[in-house]
Amino acid sequence: MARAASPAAAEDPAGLGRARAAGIAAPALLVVLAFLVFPALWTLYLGTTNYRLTGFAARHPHSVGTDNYTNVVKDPAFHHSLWLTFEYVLGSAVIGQALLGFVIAWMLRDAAGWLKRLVEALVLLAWILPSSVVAFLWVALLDRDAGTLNTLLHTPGTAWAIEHPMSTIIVFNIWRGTAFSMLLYSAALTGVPPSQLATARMFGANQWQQLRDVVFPHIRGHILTNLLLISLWTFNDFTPYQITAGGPDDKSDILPVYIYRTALFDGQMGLGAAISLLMLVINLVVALVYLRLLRERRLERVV
Amino acid sequence: MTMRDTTTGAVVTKIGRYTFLSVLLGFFALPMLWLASAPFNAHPTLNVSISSFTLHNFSVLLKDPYALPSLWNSLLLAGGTALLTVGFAAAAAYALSRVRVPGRDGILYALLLLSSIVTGTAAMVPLFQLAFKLHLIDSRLGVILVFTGGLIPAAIFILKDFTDSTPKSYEESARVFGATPFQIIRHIVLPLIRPGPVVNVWGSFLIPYILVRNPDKYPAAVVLYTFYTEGGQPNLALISAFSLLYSIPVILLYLFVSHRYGFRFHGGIKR
Amino acid sequence: MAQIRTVDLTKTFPDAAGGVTALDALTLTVDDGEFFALLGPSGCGKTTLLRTLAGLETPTGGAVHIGDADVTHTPPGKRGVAMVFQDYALFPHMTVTENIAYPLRVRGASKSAQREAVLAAASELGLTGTETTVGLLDRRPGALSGGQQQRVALARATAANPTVFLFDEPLSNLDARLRLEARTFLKRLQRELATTTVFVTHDQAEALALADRIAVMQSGRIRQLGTPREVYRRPANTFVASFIGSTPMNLLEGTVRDGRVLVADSEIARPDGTAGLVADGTQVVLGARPEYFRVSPAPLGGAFQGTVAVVENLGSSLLLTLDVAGTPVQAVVGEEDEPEPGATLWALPRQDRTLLYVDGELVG
Repeated sequence: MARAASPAAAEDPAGLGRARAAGIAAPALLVVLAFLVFPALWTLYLGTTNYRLTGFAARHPHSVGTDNYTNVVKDPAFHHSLWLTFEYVLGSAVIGQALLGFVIAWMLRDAAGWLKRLVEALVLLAWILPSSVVAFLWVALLDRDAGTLNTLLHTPGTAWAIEHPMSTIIVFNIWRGTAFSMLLYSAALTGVPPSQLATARMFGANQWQQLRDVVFPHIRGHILTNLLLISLWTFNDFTPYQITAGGPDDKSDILPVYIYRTALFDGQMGLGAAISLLMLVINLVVALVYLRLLRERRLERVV
Repeated sequence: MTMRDTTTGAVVTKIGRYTFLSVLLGFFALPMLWLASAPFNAHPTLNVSISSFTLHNFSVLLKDPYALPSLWNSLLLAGGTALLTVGFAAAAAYALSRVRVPGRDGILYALLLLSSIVTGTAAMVPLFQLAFKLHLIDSRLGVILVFTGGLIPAAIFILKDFTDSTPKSYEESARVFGATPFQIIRHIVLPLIRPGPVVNVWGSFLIPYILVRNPDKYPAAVVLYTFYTEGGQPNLALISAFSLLYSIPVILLYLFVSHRYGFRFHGGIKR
Repeated sequence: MAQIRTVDLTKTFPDAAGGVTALDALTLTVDDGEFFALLGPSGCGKTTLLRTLAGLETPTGGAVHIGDADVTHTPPGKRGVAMVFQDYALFPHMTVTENIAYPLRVRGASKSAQREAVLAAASELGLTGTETTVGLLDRRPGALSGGQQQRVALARATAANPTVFLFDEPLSNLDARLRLEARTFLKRLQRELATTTVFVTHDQAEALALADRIAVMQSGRIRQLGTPREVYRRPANTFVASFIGSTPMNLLEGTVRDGRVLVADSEIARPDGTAGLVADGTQVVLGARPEYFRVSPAPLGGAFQGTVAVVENLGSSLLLTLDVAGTPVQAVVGEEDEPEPGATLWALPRQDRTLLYVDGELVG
């Protein structure tokens, strides 16, 4: 109570002191410096070289200035990949995961305990199984000759991953990642005061009006947080490679796959680094927006 | 009259709801059916069937020179990463939460920014190079360190929020009773912040796949991929049994976490 | 057993506007064995004072003495104090036994000494159970009720065998009914242990009921220091007067004329003991507790005449709000004397219990 008046009260409750505190924090910061900060800076440098995985340029890389960047920006394959990535993020994350996640959270809000646990367990399982296992499960599901889906739909011989590669990885990613949105929204929904919903119901508001007038204003911040985070993750997601390998004919060649093929498959490390840097920049923009939002919300909470 | 209307409406809503939930369950369960059936099938195909139940696939798997060691290797990698991440991050989070270290807010902001933008995918090239130069390419420690570096910032953030929401009166109380800072950390702080989210470390395919080249240090994710591609024809018996084995630790961990703490967001993400 | 003394104790918290003064040169003595209350509204500095006594805050200036020692720069664990926090701060991962034993564990006491101390403290606080109740010693704090948690926190503090107890809002986390029970219990415990005890509260009833002496604080200063009787009967200033008492004191502005107080169009007798202390024409505030009124439907000399605006039932009595020439005046009457709203009544304050304030300070 009275503690509100003591703004700086209770700093350092265990009596650690600054020196010991810095010592405790140091190992984590050092690892981050070596394996996160340094690689980011190194990307910057590599992007200006003709470094290759093998051959002469592997031993004696030399600077090529901004050539890599201009080459990338002019490359139609890059444009193509960027567009596919946009489709992938928009379809699977912004629309698919976010919407499905919310609908599940909303429907399970007052469902019976067993039903809630069952649905949540399955959705979560899809999220936490190892990527390579999951990828193979989908290969089995979609197989042209003996896939479960073809048996189920009586459509023998349909090679889903080849005929509809983008739709395949989009549906796959919805299946894979909806759990996060579901969890986030169910946590957010518990924060909506039941008394406000009851008040709205008492005035005769229907489901949609309740959602619009009571629920959404409360969880607006959660929605934005969710959209930014899942977009960021989906943008950096490499798992689709294990289902379609970017093919056929680059039809599902999203950016992470494109980098992988350029840098490690074709061995053009310098060029790969240049694309990576563009990716880092996009990540940076999204992250800045996200942090901005987070900070505003913290201020709101303080006020 | 109006009574009946609302009742009919309620029934329709209810039917719609359960239909939707059934379709939803189907959608999420369908891909997993194969994982539950194929490993026990004497002649596994890519289709879901349990015509002839057998455990033979597992005994084949046990004889495979790479399968079990790689699974063990994966456990070591994941366990090592989790331990290192949570240990380092918890220490840093505690210090940053409780003591006004100079530049604290800046450090946190930078950490958060970095962890969001420098992903394994985007930094694939330099990470590969770094590991190559440090001769960590084939070493477990290298893989663990790379993972740890990527995971620490988010972990710090979540654990710091968690610590922030833990009343300081616990430590103060112990302090008034005469506990030293390290006693307080050992007796009070560590047990209090023990619930740490460590699930996500596992099963990441990309970085081990790039970094690890020596077969006897292959983590499970990579071995699974070799079953799939070696010899052109996928070895379904091995793949299915191995997939199941590979998934079991994650499932156990999930069951443990959801039973013990409830699989819910706490701290960092819940805002 | 120890006396506590603070000398010019000052604490400023830095902030953007140059600093907030939480303690303003406080000099205070708490006697050995005394049950001492720090009372005041939020932000008055009472919690900061308690935490400074505990050593959790370092004063900006001045000194703290406990017993014969100057402990101003002694770390919390070496002061011989035990503190019970508002949220009790029971360690959730330890059982009740482990919690109570913690002070001894930290000092490296033997297992058997720990066990002994736990049993002694637990039986003192009724935690061991009887033939009809189950003991709580093996439970975790999460499985205890609020009242039980409080007792465990007290047991833990007792087990530390301190020379001084510090309680931060010890009853505020309990619900109303339990709070009264716990209050009685706490007072008995303090009497039995006879350990110097300082507690912080914002609830004047709690302070009056428990304490031997009360320090009423405002903005980092002590506005009055005295026994509950003194503080209740003769609040030293209008701040204390308005803060103490479950029905607030009537504080009515008026002027002195011919030895009487002219207030709300009524002429009220001058309070006892103020004769000749206030010159005619002085602006004053007349203080009269609602409990000390004689209320009558027939005219009384030197009384407030007003109409009944509100009647609130307090159970054994009624609180009336009278409209006296536009000024509200409150008076308490017995349950059998319930008037109709709108009725005209005369309310005569007891001359020996009225008070006079000039510039906010008590006269006489």
